[in-house]
Amino acid sequence: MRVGLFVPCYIDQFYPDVAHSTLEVLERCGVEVDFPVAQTCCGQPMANTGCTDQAARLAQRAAEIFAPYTHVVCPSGSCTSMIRHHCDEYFETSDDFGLRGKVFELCEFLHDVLCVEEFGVHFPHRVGLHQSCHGLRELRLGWSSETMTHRDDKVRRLLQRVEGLQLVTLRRADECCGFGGTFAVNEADVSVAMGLDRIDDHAQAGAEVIVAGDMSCLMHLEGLLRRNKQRLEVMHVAQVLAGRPRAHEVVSRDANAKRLERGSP
Amino acid sequence: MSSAADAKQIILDRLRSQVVTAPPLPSLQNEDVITFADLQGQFCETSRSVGAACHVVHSPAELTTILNDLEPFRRARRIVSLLPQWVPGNTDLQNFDEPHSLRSLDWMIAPGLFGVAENGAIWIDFSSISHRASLFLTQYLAILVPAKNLVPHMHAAYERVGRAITQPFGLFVSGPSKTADIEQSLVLGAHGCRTLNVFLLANPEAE
Amino acid sequence: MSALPIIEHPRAAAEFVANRERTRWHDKALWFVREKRDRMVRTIPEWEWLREMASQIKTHTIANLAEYLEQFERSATAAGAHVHWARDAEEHNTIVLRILRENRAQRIVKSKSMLTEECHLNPFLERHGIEVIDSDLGERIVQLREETPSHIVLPAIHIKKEEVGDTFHQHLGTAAGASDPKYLTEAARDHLRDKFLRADAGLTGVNFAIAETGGIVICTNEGNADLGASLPPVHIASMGIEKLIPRAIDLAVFTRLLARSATGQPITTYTSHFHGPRRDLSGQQTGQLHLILVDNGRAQIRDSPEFREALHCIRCGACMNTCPVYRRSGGHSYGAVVPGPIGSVLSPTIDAKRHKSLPHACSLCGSCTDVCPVRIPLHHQLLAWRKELAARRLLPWSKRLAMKGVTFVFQHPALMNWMGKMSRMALRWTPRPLIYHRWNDWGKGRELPIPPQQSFREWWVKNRGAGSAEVQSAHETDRHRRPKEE
Repeated sequence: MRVGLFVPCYIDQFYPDVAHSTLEVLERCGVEVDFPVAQTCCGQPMANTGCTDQAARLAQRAAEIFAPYTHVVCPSGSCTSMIRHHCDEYFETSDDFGLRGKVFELCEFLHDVLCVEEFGVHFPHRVGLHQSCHGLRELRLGWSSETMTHRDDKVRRLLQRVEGLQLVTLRRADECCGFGGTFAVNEADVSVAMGLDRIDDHAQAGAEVIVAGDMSCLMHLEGLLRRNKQRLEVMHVAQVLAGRPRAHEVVSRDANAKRLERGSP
Repeated sequence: MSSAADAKQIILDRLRSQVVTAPPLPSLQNEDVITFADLQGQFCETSRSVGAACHVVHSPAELTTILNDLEPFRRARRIVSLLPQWVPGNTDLQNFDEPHSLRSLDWMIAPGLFGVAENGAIWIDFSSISHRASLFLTQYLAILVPAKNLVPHMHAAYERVGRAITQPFGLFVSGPSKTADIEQSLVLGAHGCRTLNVFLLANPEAE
Repeated sequence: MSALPIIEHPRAAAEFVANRERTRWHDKALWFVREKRDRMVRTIPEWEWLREMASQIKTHTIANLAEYLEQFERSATAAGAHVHWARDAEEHNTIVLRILRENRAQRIVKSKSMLTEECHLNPFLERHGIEVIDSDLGERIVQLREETPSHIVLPAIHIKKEEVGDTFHQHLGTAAGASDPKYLTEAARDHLRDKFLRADAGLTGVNFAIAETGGIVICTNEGNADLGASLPPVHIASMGIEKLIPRAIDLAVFTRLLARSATGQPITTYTSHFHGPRRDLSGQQTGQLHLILVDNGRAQIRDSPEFREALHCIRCGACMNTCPVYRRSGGHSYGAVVPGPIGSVLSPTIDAKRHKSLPHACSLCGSCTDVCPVRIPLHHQLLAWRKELAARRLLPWSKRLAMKGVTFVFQHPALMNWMGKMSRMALRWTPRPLIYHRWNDWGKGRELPIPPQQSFREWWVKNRGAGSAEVQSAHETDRHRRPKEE
């Protein structure tokens, strides 16, 4: 098994600790992990805007870059689902080098392929599990409340293997946070309203940390939490499984970051 | 101005110009469709959950007692009963030459052919009801169904209706008329009957 | 219709959601309906099988639609109904008017029919001197307020009971300030009974049309469709051609799915089956039944393999109840006859330019697809529409340019690294007012992420990348060499 790590562009640039955590978790499981530095993007923002040509070019590029690996692991349900489900037309006449069949979201890789039972970490906090939509309804990482099809909740199962972690019960187990890619900007008002409602739900359930498998959801929720100066925190599931403590700072807050904060209204 | 025949031909030609292949109709056979150990209990429970009053009776006397306990029935001036051997009425439906005169109908007692346990629905056969509007104009409705004529679900229901579905009018009624159009507040008795009393006739002679 | 200004969804939604309290109320009301639906669904272990059957029945029917339509017409005519065909809204309205004129009908009652909304039938008839009364309580409320329905099943969901009270006080003479739903419904009952009894004709929609028997099925809770169909001497039923199902037994599948999905009831109060016109006990015809089969763009949708499944829709409204965007922006923000997810798929087929914001009024959460009783892949169709709109150059040039630019950057990793580093530095050093200005849509309600000192890639290159072939290829542009196989 030779795993290529697929790090979504915004994680690489803005949330590198999620990638670090993913790497650590995989390596602790004895997996040989490589990060092909030529990678950039799966093409999802382009595809979601309807720009097929652009998306195709990026998808093809990704296929070539990840050709040498037996498995491609990505700490993002939406990028994984993009590659697995929405790339078919881009590869009608070209080779995807098996990419669509060998890409895994992190939790499904840990749950289905590595079958990890123990992470050797503890996280004695109350966690609200946010079911990122792509992971839930496209990759079927869990049971979506609309349906009667029983599905193992892979993210929940993994979190339950973390010592001390308590999952809280939300009023709406799998409502969308409102990020939705370009939706967050195109329909900013509804996007913000959706995010605030999710935060309210986690708060009333007594969560200390919101955990999800998609950092894009968390970026949006964190942006709201910080703007409204709320105490709830966000963490990616990889960070919890890697044993990061709560309030772990993604980047060491240097003086400049503090200056940024001081200027907030 | 194109004629009606033109429009039909144009639409059909348009549809035929795009050939779409599709699999055959599914057979709808399924052994795992919901069943109930206690059909009668399930029917009563569901019936009540949709706002009907559901009673199991063994004799006309029992039925009459229940009805006479209801103030709207005691106050009723015009009662049409299509099952006079169970409940006598005081007005004959045949006497109305047109449905509009039924606006003053207070109570209607009608026969139901069978009931459906999963949703409290009752199939009404209109082949002997002269004015179908009566069932909707009556202020209060009571339906009498033989207790042995209960099916579990709609698949069995439509099988049981069979060709009778091609009668001019056939109805499944489940509960009294209702609406929640004003701020999602449920109000029973919208345009149709205000209440529905369902009587399951647990009597071998009940037909 | 084209004279109306095009108000795109984002702007209309912004107005709606600005009233936070009202938005919460609207959202809660619709989520409550979704929860009722869920409770119902959980009592049916074979629910997913039902959805699959419904999907297969509709797929088969739409594929063979011409044959089934002809079978339907034959059977319906044999039963004594008059069958009319209309290519578009205009033809439909003209047919309705002609039937009314032939029968000297001046006052009509109409039960819920999204098709007649689509054809803008009411204003057409009113222009020709016909009195049209919408008999469904929600639709009557909306009619008296001179509004349009905001939901296909719950037309007045956006209206508070006090507002209904005011409207009824104005038009029906109810007590001023009275808002008790029971009291108001009672007033509507009397008012509408009068209309039913005096109507010259009744117009209804059709939930299902049975090809093998020529019958139609109408599902209501109020009984208004039945009163409208059974009292006046003329019954006109309008239906989209996609409402057909092949066999009577197929009704079992759809009647088990419809009300549970729409309102969380096991079945509607009335499920009425009409075959031919009203008859007396001797079989003598005592009324007329007219069935109008309407295309109005449906054959066009059927042409497209991508969007064809949208014709399976049974108009239950479950997609609206579950859609987090609909719940927080309201039906009117869509500017379309049918709003919500299904409306956002159907409306661009009528007018892509007018409705181009609708496929983007979606976070692609997929809840609609999972809730749809006939398994329409709604969010995939919305995504497909975005592609279609881009291909038709209906995407704003700013977005097209942005995507082109970003793609270019993503094809050159060294450039991406540099730009990423620059953005992070800029975020750290730029004064706040220059970041959070009025053109920063993200920043309206949220903070941007705190920029880290180092990207993951930078760390990897520094700490793990030495000696590997990837390091060299990272600085290549465009077509890079594939690293050596191991």
